Amino acid sequence: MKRAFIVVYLLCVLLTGCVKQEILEKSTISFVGAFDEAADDQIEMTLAPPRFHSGKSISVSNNLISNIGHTSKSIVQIMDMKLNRTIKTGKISVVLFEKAMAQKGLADELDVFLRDALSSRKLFVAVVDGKAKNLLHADFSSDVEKGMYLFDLLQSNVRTGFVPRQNLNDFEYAYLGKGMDPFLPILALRNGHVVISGLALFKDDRYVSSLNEQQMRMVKLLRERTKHGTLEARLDNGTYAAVRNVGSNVKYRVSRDQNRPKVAIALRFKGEVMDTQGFQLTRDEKQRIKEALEKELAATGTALIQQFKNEGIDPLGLGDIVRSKTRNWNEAAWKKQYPAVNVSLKVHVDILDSGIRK
Amino acid sequence: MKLPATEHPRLTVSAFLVFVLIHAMQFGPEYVSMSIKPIRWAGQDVWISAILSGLSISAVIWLMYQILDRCGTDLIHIHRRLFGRWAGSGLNLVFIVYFLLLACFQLRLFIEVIQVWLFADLATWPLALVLLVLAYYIVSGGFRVVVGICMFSLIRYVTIFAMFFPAIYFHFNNLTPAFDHSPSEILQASKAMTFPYLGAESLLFCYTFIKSPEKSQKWAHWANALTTFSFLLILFFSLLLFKPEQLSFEVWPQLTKYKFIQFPFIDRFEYIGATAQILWVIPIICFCLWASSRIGKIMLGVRQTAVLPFLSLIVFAAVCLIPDRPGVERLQAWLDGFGFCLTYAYIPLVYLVVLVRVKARTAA
Amino acid sequence: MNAAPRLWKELCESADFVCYENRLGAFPIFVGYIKTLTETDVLERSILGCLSDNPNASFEELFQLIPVAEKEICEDWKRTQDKVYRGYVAIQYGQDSQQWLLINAAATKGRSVAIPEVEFTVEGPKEGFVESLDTNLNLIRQRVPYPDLRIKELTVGSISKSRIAVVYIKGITNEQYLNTCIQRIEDVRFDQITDSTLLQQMIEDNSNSIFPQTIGTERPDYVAWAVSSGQICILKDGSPTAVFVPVNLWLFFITYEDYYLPWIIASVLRMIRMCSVLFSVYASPLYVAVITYHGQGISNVFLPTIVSSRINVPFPPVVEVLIMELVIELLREAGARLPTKIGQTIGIVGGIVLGTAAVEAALTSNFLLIIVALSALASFTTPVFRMSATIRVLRFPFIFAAQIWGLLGIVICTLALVAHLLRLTSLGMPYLVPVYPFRKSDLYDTVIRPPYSKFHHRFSFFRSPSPVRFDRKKAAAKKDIDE
Repeated sequence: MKRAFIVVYLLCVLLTGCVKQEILEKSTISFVGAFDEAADDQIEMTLAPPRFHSGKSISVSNNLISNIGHTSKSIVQIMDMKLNRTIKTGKISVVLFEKAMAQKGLADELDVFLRDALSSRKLFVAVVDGKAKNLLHADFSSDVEKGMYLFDLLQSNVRTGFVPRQNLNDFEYAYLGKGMDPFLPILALRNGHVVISGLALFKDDRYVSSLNEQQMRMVKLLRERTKHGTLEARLDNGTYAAVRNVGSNVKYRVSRDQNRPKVAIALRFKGEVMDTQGFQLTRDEKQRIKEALEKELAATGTALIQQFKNEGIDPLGLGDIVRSKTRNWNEAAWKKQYPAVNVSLKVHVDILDSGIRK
Repeated sequence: MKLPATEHPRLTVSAFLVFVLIHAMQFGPEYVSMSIKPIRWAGQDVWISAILSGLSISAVIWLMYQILDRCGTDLIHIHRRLFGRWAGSGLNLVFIVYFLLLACFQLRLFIEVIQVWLFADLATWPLALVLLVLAYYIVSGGFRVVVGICMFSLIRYVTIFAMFFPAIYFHFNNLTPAFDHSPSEILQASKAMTFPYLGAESLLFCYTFIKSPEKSQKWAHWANALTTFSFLLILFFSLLLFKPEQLSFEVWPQLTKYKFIQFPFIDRFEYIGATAQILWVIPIICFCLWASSRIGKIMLGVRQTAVLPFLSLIVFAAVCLIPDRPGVERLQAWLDGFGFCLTYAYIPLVYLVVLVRVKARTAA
Repeated sequence: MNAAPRLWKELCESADFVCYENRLGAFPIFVGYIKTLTETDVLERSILGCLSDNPNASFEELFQLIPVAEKEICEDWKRTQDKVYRGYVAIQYGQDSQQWLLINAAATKGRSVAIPEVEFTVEGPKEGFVESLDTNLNLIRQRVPYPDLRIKELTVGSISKSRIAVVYIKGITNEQYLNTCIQRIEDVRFDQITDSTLLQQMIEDNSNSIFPQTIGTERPDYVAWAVSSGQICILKDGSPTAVFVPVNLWLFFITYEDYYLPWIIASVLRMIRMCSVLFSVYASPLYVAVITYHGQGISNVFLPTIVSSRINVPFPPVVEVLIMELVIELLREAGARLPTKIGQTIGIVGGIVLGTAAVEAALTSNFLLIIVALSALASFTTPVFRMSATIRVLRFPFIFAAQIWGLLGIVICTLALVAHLLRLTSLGMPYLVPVYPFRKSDLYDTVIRPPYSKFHHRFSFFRSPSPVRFDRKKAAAKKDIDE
């Protein structure tokens, strides 16, 4: 009786409990996905799966596959018909969107990645200047797989450069959260190289305008604590000095000013002079570099904030900051106030050292 | 009205293990989605509600110990004492149903998590069968083995470290302004948290299996404190990582946290996180089967091993009958309501009856 | 029927039985013994010499005169027969006497005390048990010259009549454990017990479990330690393995060398050993689960390495793993069955030549080869042989579970394993103690081997009547700086 039960039990589980296998080397894995607009409201999806060869750990993939369809999952289905190994989209780490598509809104497409139990929340999303497919077609990475190259490019610039962090989770946070608007890095192809050329600003999930590298740096400084990167100060006499970022910190102070919130931003920047174009650094000289840098940062920042207010977007999340300091905050009321809110920016630069020379 | 009803010392567990048992019973798998509803009600002030719930459960634990210490036996016998043979048996039957449904819910929830996160094509019944056979094997080892599994399941706290990986995405300004919600909203959030806090009632059925049960009360309170602390962590985590608007799109925010973990070898912890849910589920299923079969044993006067396969089969059939998410949610809503009445109405009521009986007896 | 003729008649059926009749004195003296069992030296010099010197000594006088310590007068012919089969010399006065003088002249042939081969340690004593029970007891006695060390002798086995010695220290060993243990040994119903490992399997609480519930050792120092901790040690004549009970799971990962090394070093080694057990059980099942079902969980940097190592392998992961595991077991078996010198060659041939060839022929991925080789190595770090065999077998159910349900299968298997361990007992003592049931004061010598000042109490789960090892208050108080 007992033995019979065990046999029946094992048979049941073995025969009916089987689930579909996804053996690793029998699937096509892409690390990057690109979306472009196509005719009739359709989308064109491009994947760049690498080809693996035994022995060598990786080889560069040139086999791009793209197809047109209504939903990305149906496109994957069509793509499978071209491939000997079925496509697995779980490893996609970078998603690229054509600018035109970003103008129409990204929420629908990103929902696919947010809904998929297998996709990462840390994947990078970027807007491409031009066709995303063309960018993938370019031969920009010689020995690294393209998807990983793009991922590392964005990752290292977010970590140690002046690209503000914005991955899938951050995008959703800023998109769904009140008093905030998302932004994304812009990738462009220049002379065969992929370049992070600026920042795409979004209103809700729609692309509205873009910032250049200079302004992108400012956004980074105003959003996060940073301790990487180098700034350039233009002195009055026309020379330039490069100042390495040792640590920057930004503080927001919210107060009320005639029934209206008033935001005071204090940016502290500690730097080390790295390049003086040859002249000797005296105390006066240091002071001048400091003042020039303060002035420049304050000017860029204030202009940036003014631009945001004019466009009615809020990539810095000022609304959220005000909300966290206000009782019974109301989004509609804030949106009305926003263009007229008094936002002041104060920059304080400390020049600490100057390398090992005076 | 004392009953000489502690079990043989060989079968009892030490008072400390009440901590393990109650904590494992309270901290069930429903924690994965517990933050959604309360945060919808009370937003960043949800921590007040969590503490309130914790305190109220502590009060209920105190009440339970008052009842149990006065009677010196478990609720199954108290029912018979207080309400007579037939009414008492009726009440016991209600608890059998409650425990079976609870086991059923836990099992179905786990299977659903597996179906969504790991194997979409896995049928419900093979996994239910395997887990119930596992639970049967554990329960047939007796109460000590059930508590042992509860203790082993505490390695779930390793997953706490998963919370630190998304730490760079925390937005601390989500916690302010504090006290921005009305008392009624906070109480609503508290009520929405009843279900995750349920589990202390397990004490009513295993009281006689505790070595020197009078000394175990402090451990029960510590267990509740740890549960409250864990829930606070979970709530704060949800608040810091997500906007409430994002939460309303998430089904299991506590599983989403695994999407942020990255190691040189592995960068998707969802697989591990989803399968680790079994650590939350199995202790509860085992205890529910144990408790219901024990009630059955005492009611029918038969061997526990005779009732257990039968009850396991009922759970198995019931699990296979829940088809989808709405079914799970309906069951959860029902258990939520029952648990709420049980903790905040029934236990105080029993306490009053016991009190009156004792008064009457001393007066007489 | 008369007992005397029957005794001699039955004995005479064996070819090696010698019956020698001495007619020097007034009445015939019969001397009977089995020549293959007796020491000729003792027989000739002490017994026969004494007989011919005192031809007229009476039975009682002879008993006094024979210069051998182990002798007795027996009136039970059955017992006499048994004794003769153990190398005693029986002397009978007259044809029909019902009294026998039994003198021990048993030959003790066997190897001399040697270095323990299975549990060799670099530090510490180098004596190991041998097959002779008396020698083994001598080795223990030398280490425990303590008046309360008790040895209880039992005989088990209807054919083998094996001498079993139960060694314990009265007042330190729990009486209940002792009684259970003796009861279990007495209850053994088996005819031929060739080794104490058979006895081990027969007295275990759950003989269907693949986990051993007793520990066998060949180190007398380990036995001395165990006995003084409150455990019971069982030795069998003819077996170089001493068995001790009760045990818990953690004791299986302790080698006695831990106690000879400084505590930090010993603790680190012990932790490595415990981790290697986990690795050994889980490495290949995880490989199967990840490659078969959860490939998308591998990190970006690591994925190409794995895929390119597997791309030309024709088998599914589970077949690949099973083949490699079997190859390793094959190598181990071949190495174990061959003499030591050739065994090493097999290891080299198998390990290097086969491994390289298998990878080059794309029969396996080199990644898996590393995993399988490492987990085989890891399984050998477990000091108790039976446990390391258990661990090697244990991974197969995990591999199958991983093939069916991936990670979920592994987790379910783990829970079943934990449930099984929770249900196991050794002489009624829970197998996982002191972790479950939780005993905080007994945790000291499980994962780490603390300094000896922490050993002030015996493990409470041995339920020793005298739980205190030494008074820790007498230890000197800590001094201040420069005091």
